[in-house]
Amino acid sequence: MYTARITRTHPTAFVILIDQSGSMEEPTSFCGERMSKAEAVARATNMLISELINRCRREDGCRDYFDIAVIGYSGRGIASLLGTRQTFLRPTQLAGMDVPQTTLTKERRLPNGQTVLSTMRQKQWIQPTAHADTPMCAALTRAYRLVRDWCRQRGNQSSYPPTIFNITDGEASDGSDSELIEIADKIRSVGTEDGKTLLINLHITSHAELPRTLFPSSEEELPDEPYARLLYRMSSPIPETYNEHISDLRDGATAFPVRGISYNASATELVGMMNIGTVSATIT
Amino acid sequence: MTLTLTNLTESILNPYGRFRTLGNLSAVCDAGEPVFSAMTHSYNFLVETGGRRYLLKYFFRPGSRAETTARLLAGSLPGLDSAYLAGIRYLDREILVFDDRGAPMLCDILIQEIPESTALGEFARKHCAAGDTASLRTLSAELCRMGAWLLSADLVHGNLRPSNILVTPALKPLLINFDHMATPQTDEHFDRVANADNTALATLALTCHILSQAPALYTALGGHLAFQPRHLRQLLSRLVLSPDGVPGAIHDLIRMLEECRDTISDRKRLADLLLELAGNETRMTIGFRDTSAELPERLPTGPERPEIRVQADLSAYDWHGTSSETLTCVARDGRFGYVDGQANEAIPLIYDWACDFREGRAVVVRDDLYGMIDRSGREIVAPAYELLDWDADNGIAKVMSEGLFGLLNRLGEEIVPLIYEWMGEMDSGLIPARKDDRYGYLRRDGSVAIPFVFDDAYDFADGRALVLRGESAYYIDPEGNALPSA
Repeated sequence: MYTARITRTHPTAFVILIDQSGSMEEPTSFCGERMSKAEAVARATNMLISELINRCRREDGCRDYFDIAVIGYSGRGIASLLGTRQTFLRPTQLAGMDVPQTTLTKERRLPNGQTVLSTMRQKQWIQPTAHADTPMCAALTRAYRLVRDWCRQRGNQSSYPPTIFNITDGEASDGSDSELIEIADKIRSVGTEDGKTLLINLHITSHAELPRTLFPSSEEELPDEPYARLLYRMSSPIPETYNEHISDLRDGATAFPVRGISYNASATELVGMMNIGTVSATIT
Repeated sequence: MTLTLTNLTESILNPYGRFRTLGNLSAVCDAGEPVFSAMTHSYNFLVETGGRRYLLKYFFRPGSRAETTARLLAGSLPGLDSAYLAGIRYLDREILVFDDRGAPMLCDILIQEIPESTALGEFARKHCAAGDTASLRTLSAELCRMGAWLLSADLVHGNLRPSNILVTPALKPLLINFDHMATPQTDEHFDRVANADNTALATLALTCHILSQAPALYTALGGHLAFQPRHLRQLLSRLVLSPDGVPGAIHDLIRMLEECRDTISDRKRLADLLLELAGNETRMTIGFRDTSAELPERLPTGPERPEIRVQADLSAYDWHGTSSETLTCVARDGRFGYVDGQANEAIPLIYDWACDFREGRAVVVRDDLYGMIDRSGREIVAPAYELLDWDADNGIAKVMSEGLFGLLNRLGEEIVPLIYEWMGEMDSGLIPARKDDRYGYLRRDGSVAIPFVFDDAYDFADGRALVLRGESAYYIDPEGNALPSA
């Protein structure tokens, strides 16, 4: 299980759910830069889309190895953030979209102690926004329908199963704990012949002093908070093919298997978490 | 530490202080974007340093066979000082890359020289368009000699395709991206990995030879697709060579490819054929057999029966096929579609290759994937297969994806799932196929007609087929009974 090779005829799917509630306006730090959480999440998501497109680039052009959906949830409702009627888009479609670009600058310290600035152009498929509530239950329901329909398609039945990233900074405003558990269970019950859908809940905070937990192997690793435990129970156990990367991220011994959850992670750590959620799949 | 393609790209676009020994390195860019490709085991960037151009490779799975081989090759594998191989260097801890958290890491890279050259596919396209038979013939002969050298040196490139063969200004072929190179000493499964290389070599040599004799066929053969063994093999039965008495090497090479079932194992015989072909300067005419004459009786009759052959003006197109079932396949700027008898565009030119209609279906290719359309242009089978061979007489299509074969009916419905490792010709009643390295025969409905018990099995002809089982080779009838030897 979780060993299917990703090909153009058997792509895999990534669904990114982004909490765009009012609290995402709070300031945070992203790669050393101050910005709102909404801005940081938009940047991290744009970087992930770029990475996925670039991994599809072959000598003869871009190949469609992935179906990618980005869905925002806020007081304005649930909506695809890729600006099209289609929810899933392929790398060639995303690469061909005429979207604004920005220059990202990072400060790097070289081994000789010298500090230099790195610049990279970055396309902005996703724009930051924040408004009112957190309808997470409705967003997860939308994601469930998306992956259920995706897994039913003939060409996808033997594919590497979909991965859902749910990026949030707070609690759901539209469902009880049992409703959230129920929809998470439904998501984790649909899949392909290669495995069930992976639901990875990425909880971020702007408070660096809070203890953070990345890919815990038990509830006890998390703070003694009901919401942390709830997110843990909602998240998928992560297949062993990801172990090496998770060990690297956690900088130390890890008891496997772990769950796909971060709690009180920084926005910067979000990028690494999402990359790990995508690196273990083998593209032919 | 998990490094991403984005992390690596940052270092290559901001090279100051990032390279240990390579000085003044810069990324080669196209429209402001670095030229790179993400391969199965490595990320490859085109870079320049010291006035020379290189392919910079970062193996993102440390310890993978590709990385180990690359390191070995850069060391001392014998035979690698050949002029047919681009020079490589493996540089330990050469490039400084920062991960997503900003932590630095020194990574190994391999650099491969890319001299002034043109990739084989692009070379063929340009010189065929110009009708430059002299250059094509020189290259064809050189390519045959290179193939014979690889075969006799017991080297397997491991990824032979047009993008990995460069053509220098002196019309010499130069191999790049040989990270999967194997020798009998380095690979215990050498014979198995050699089979694919042998088939690729035979295809490359034959395609170049055909194009050198008939460059106008470039488009009809499917452009770059003609360098793919399975695509070329589908076309071979339609090729007509004249005069009939043309030398044997090309006939033998065609027969070898037609009968090879994706694996050519006789490297000595192939090397001899390539050398014979390299020294052969006989001119010949090569064209396609006109299949349209086979079809009229199956077209609808009555007052609506469309006219079959209309002398329409097709000069607006770069190439056109023969009129088939009232539609003519046409190509312009490398895009294929169909026009009707009045030269009106009936099916838009949206495909990378397309062939004539037969029994209401035509095979089309988009993004190197094969599909099938009906006469209205509807995609009965969306382009999603690496091979689609339409058998109009029997109304079935053989398809292949990820190395596994199956059958579809004319509606595009699966009648045999993709579970067979190989499938032979479909026109002799029973279809030879391979599963779990054993050969047997299928009926056209997918049921097993003769069990999968043979070590090898050939097509039925005249009510019998040759099979191999253990040390025995004998003929069987369609019931699977052994026939008495003649």
